[in-house]
Amino acid sequence: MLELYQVQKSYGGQKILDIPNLQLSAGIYWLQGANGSGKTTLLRLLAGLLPFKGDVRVNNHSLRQTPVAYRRMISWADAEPLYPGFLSGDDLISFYRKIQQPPPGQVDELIGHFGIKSWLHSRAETLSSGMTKKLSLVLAFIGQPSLILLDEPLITLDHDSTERLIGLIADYQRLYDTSFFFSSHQAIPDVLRQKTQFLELKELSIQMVNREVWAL
Amino acid sequence: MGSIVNKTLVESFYRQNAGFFVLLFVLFFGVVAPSEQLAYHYTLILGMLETPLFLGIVLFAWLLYGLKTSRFLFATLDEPEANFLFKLGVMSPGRLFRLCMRIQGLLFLPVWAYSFAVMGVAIYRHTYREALLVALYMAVINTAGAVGLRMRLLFPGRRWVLFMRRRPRRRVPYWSILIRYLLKEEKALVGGIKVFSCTTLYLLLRDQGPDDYDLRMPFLFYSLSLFGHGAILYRCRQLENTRLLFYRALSVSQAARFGQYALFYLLLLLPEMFVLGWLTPHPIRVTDTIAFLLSGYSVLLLMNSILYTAPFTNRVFLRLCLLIFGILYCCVLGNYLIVLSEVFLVTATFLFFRRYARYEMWA
Repeated sequence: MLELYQVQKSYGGQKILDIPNLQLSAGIYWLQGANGSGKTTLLRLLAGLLPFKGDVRVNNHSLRQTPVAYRRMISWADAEPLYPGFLSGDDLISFYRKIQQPPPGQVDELIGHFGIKSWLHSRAETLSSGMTKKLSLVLAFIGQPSLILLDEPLITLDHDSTERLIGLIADYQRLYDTSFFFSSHQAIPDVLRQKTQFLELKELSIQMVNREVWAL
Repeated sequence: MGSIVNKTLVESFYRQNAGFFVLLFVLFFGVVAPSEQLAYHYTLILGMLETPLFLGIVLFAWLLYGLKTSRFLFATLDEPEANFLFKLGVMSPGRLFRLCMRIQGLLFLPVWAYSFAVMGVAIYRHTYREALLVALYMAVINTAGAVGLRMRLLFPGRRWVLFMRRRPRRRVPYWSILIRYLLKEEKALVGGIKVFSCTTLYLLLRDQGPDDYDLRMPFLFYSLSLFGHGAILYRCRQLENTRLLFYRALSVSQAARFGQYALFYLLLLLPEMFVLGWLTPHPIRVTDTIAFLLSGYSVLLLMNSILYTAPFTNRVFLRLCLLIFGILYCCVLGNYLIVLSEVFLVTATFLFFRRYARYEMWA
């Protein structure tokens, strides 16, 4: 599903990532790593937001050679999403709806699932960080991407919303065979932990981690 | 309590707008000799009372002033330091309304003063209808302002429900987000550049005659305004790199993205198009209008694409804009404007397709 080839990323001459080869099959992946280890950079790189050396493929669509087809396969939500203050949730959903072409009824289901309908008409500048986070998650789930990249999806979410998100991840994997690649410093609930494979970003590269190690 | 409210809402309004009031005072009382002040203002008021259009313009200006006061009040109440004022919401409805009317009345003092003069002259000349109209108008806009303030104090944030609820837009193209950004958050910058650009174009081009037809000076000013557009582009890119980051991750083809920018810059140049269209074919020739517009459009697209080639600081980008400005002006002197515009368009397209997906964000 996700393949990384000779991926290198540097900032100002300092190498941040150096991943020779990595192939991940469909599933849910939890990326761990210390602060500054490059988790956000990796997620942004996979989302096509940053230039880098090497190539990344999702379902054989190369980010370098077929960027539009690649981007159709993925969806991304930032750790601390920011939107123009003058746009409303409705505006952003209309914008995404046009590009992502979701199946009929999906957007309404997502809005209902996260309980955001009552303030969708409000401008982004009036939303709290938790509300903005929920909106960003709804946007990330619009359409049928093969891979959803979530940077710290649990921060600023309340307990109820966290459970709803976990349920949605499980639903999307079951219904659409969607894969997830997310970073989090927070503990994820057991129900998701059982289905999750753990990765660690360490010494510029990614290593598979035994689940039991993290369970400890 | 009254003095605290006065200090927070009234005094700070006059302090913050001191420059505005000084300017108004100079315009109204500084243009004629003191001995002629009375006659001057009497004539001015007579003009209002006898010319409905003039009176309409004055009343509209007062409405704008009312909007200015309301904006100030709402903005002040949004500040965390003014949170204590929401305590006023526990007052009885009548008392709170009277307080809001008093605040509104104090903010409207300069307008009240002039409106009383207008009403006085109207009554003196037995034009009671105009006097009543002015009195009613003043009462309505003051009451509306007071009601708005009272609502804001009683229901902070309710304005969105009352005034902002609307049907969700069915389509939100990317160019429209950029246009809305400029209209909402960069009004002063865009307004200033557009006023400069359109005014200089109109004033310098309207007197061009067949005998002394020379576009070098108008183009110098026009290219200066294009140079100013660089600031607009830079702000737009900052917005994209911070709050529109998600757009880059969406599955939109390069051509469609370029199309969005092409449309955006076309719309951005609409005021100049209007002015140039107004002056064509006389006194400006059609070919020259095309050259002006094509060069402006190509420069904007080129600056847009250049911003994708590297993470520029504003100082470096300013230098690049200066360079483009220099090249542009040299080509005017050599009469190569259309050729240069074509080169700029091709370069802009090439750079965009080559660099858009690969540029490094600086935010």
